[in-house]
Amino acid sequence: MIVESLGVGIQHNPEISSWFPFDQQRVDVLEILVDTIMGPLDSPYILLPGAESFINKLAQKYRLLAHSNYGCEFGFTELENTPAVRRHVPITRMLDSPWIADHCFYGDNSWVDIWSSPLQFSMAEVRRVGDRARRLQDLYGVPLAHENAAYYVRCPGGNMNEAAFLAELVNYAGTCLLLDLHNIYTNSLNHPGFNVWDYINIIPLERVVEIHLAGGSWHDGLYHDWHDSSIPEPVWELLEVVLERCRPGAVILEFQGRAHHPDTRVMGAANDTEIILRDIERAQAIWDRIYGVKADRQRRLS
Amino acid sequence: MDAQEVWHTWRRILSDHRFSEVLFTGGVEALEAEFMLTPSEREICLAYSCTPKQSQWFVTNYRYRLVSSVCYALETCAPLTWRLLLAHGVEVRALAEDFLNADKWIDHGPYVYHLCRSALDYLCAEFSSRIPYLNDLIGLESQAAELMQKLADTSWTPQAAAAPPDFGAEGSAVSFQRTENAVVAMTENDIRPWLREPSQIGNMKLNPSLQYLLIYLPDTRSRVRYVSIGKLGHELFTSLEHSRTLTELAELPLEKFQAVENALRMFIRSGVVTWRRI
Repeated sequence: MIVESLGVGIQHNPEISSWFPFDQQRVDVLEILVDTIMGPLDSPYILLPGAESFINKLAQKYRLLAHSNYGCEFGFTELENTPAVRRHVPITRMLDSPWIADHCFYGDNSWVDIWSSPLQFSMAEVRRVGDRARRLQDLYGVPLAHENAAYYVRCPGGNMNEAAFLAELVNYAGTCLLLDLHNIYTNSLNHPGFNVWDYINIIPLERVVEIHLAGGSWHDGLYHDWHDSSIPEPVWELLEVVLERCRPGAVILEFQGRAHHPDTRVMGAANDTEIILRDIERAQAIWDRIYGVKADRQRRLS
Repeated sequence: MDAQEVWHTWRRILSDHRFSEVLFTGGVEALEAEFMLTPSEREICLAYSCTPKQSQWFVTNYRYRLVSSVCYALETCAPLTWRLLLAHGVEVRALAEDFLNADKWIDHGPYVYHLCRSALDYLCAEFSSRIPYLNDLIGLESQAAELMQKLADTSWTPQAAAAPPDFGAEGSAVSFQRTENAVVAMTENDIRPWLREPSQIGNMKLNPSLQYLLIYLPDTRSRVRYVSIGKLGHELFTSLEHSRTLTELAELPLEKFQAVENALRMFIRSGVVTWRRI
């Protein structure tokens, strides 16, 4: 899968935008969470008031990449009535995003329960979800990439492993992958028998158009994908291997506030900006070493 | 297991506190003793009960995020009410949790105005006697939310506001009618100082004075606006539910016809009344 080579960027997250200056970063691309700018479905807004000027201002300096959290695309309601179709499709065009990524979770007219149930890893769901994904990709008009999930519990009734499921899905639907390396790492810590390298060897890496990097925290005996810490060394190791074996269009770093649990560490301490900048620099150094320096980065950001 | 049935059963575990409590403390046998389960629901619940700690993490996360959703709905869709709650030191997350206990922890997702209105109804019932002027703001913003929902349902397309006609020259050759993107709300107190300066919400006493406020959405890039229009403006706006000429308006019991013309001009420039030559 050949996509535009954007480079290394960071996900724009409003939860930390009060202290982290996203619009001053020397990155190649900003990933925009379309849910944070979309109008509610029971309103006449496609974009929230003020979002258009926000997008236009960022677009003057960066390529923008669309990312969908709460599209409800793989639930059981009519696809044409989901936020993905009613809002994310037009917003992705407004962002001029070269691809759009979604999440492999269920959702039906909902937001927060989406994070709680990964798709059932079964061939029946490959076909059902794949039919919806194919149709949705047509509506988007750009490649649709599925992000692998971090989960505490697999969806009951599955009879495949996750990597095999995703491989079957993208082959059936003609879609792509956003490979979240921290999610793979998180699952390897929480699920006995989950082997990171087996996973990487099964995933069709030629379908990977984007990579996510993040950090997390241990709490109460489980490791959590909370995006509240520096990227761990095993994830950096994964990145080096994956970038040698495929050619994604972007590597995106994720950091966020207290979104999922009251015990999440709230970022914003004096050294958190340094943590983020250090991780961005490291990701850029790896990208530049493997793919060559982004020639337009200096020119665009000067 | 059918994936849809697994998903629906899981949503029940997430939202029904008693259901999940019995499942994860007593197991599926205890659950069956208290709830009716189909054979497939039993099988699904049994699967989740095998990893109680991990499954309960999801439940905790769900509840935490849903509380955040209620706060988001109020802050985004009822910002005046939100400010008043904060000014009175209300613990908004605790309030959201109490509301969700009453609302059965249902995730309304992208239907944010629906969630906002439900939360405002709850606030009205539980808090209006405790916080001065809260009823006025709740009433105003509930109607604003209802207007937004109506505009979504009707797939409203904004029209550019036209210049008013020359009333003297056109005479009775024009008719006027209100558009769908506005309603009028009434408050028992004069909240105009708070509308002009939101930082004063909750910090400044208000005069007890009936106010008529036009609520309108000018276009799909703007926030809802509030304009004080007085009793005459309210009567005029009400009368324009149907198309009327100036002659017909002059026959209505509206005082001070010059004021009527001024109000019409304001309505037309705001895009809430249209006119056409007849």
